[in-house]
Amino acid sequence: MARVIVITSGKGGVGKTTCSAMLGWNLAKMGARVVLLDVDIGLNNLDIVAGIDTQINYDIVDILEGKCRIRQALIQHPKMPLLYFLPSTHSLNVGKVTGDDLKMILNELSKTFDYCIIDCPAGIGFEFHRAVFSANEAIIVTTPHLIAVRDAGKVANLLYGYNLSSISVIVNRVRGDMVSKRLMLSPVDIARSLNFKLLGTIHESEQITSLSSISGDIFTLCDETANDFKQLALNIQNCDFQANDLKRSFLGIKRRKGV
Amino acid sequence: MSIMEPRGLARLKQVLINDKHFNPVKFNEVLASDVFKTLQNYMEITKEDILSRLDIDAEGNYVFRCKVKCNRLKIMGILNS
Repeated sequence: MARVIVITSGKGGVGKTTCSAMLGWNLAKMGARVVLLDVDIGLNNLDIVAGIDTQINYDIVDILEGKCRIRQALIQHPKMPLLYFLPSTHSLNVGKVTGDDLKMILNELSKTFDYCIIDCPAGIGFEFHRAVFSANEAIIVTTPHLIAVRDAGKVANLLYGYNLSSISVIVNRVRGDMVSKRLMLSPVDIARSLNFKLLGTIHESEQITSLSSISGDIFTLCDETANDFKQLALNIQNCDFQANDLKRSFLGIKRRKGV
Repeated sequence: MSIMEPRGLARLKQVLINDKHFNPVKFNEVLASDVFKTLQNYMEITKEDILSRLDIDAEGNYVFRCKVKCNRLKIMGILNS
């Protein structure tokens, strides 16, 4: 059976979709069969981030309406044969997909894949509960900003109500230079404040900002942050809660600045 | 720029503790009801005999206090042996 992992946050714009896509990519690169599910129905973006938006023929609603089988709706990434996507619908009629519908689809996918990664919508409404309902592990993505950590804390309180085997946290957009100067909360302190295991740290990346604003295809990422995601995938695979070495990034930032 | 981390951590702690107060309102009632049902197996009590309260301490931990007054215990045979 697959590990069904929901990537959530509470606050929008913290990097859930990017983390979902990069985790899927790196796990597939390590030899795992991975399917990414965009459950942000109506406001989906995973297809753009993954660069597969032009290949969508069927979506999750088509499966539920009997227009296609699950296999027909899946999109295999052209450069990563073990990575698949199940696209969300563009329709604004988001009430069509229930938690039970999603669970049924995930039960089927679990037979074929090693990992089912659910990209959860922002917020804590029905869409959030629909996404979490079918998962057996949760990863909360936050940034080192007070409001993002606060929302992560609120989401954590809700996640405790579900039967999840593991809840961990990823701190995204960390500036190693600022953490070293104690101008920014450290990922370790954030995880400790939230009372969660720190699964990984992703550093601030100009390349991600640029890729997401221009091309959309995040898989061409090749800066130090790509190594952060690789380490994150390793941590998930090994259930190892060891954050990346921040010192490496301090040096990286200094090198880029020519210090 | 001065070091912000300690101030930030203190502020984060304060915000997270404050948010804990907004947990479901009915939670205390449900918890008290479950405690009552459990204690009823061991004591002769009514709902009025139980005083319970859920608070948050300065460290952000939930503290559940329960005071029970009863006249008679239900001593089961198995506990006597």
